[in-house]
Amino acid sequence: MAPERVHPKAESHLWPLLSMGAILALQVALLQVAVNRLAWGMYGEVFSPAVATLALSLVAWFLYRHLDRESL
Amino acid sequence: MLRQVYRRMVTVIHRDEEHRLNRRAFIHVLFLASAAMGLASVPLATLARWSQRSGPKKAPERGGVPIARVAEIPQGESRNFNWPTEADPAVLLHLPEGGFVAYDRRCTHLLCPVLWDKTMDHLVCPCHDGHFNARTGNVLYGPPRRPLPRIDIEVRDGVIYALGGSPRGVKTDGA
Repeated sequence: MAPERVHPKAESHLWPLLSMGAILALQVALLQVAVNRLAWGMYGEVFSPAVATLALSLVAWFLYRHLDRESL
Repeated sequence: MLRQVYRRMVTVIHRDEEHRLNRRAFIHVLFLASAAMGLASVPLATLARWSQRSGPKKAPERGGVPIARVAEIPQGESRNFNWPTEADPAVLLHLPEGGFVAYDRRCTHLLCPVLWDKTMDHLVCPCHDGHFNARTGNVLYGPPRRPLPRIDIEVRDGVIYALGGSPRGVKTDGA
């Protein structure tokens, strides 16, 4: 039985998963901070983590568009 | 549009369609999760901005803002108050050996409110177990790296007034 063939570019295709995973992890952490501050009534302090979460969504969108073009 | 998104998600995660759960589909799901969190943050950011605009922005009054009467707080007890605005929690301590100190109540790690633990004689952040010296505000141990900002107070005619404060993260002398 012939060994399973791996596409030569397969390894390089790991970075999109890692990038998306890192972005998601950051977003979860930031959202947690925002909700935590909200729960304690610190409304003024919620803005920066919330905007950072939104900005990371945009980064994820650009990444996703890029991946779509690259046909990964 | 929403139906398409839903169908793609369902297609990706449906048991009979497992063979479609390739890398592209997985990244698609990750992107949708990221977009959902981004959307969830919009009302939070709006609320924060709105509260900053509509919230009380009173400047500290000359001569200080009265916090409490000395007689109201026995030795070893604390009183929470808000200063300089209603959105800024602070804590006033009557130290066991006498004397008053006041601090910004937000932990310098992730802004959880710190609590006065008189048995330990520390200000404690319950979120990640950060401990602060009650006399100086400096970090004793735990994740915070910066001391609690101190609020200057003054006792006049049996009333404690908040006067001003140190910037966040400035280390105070002692301890």
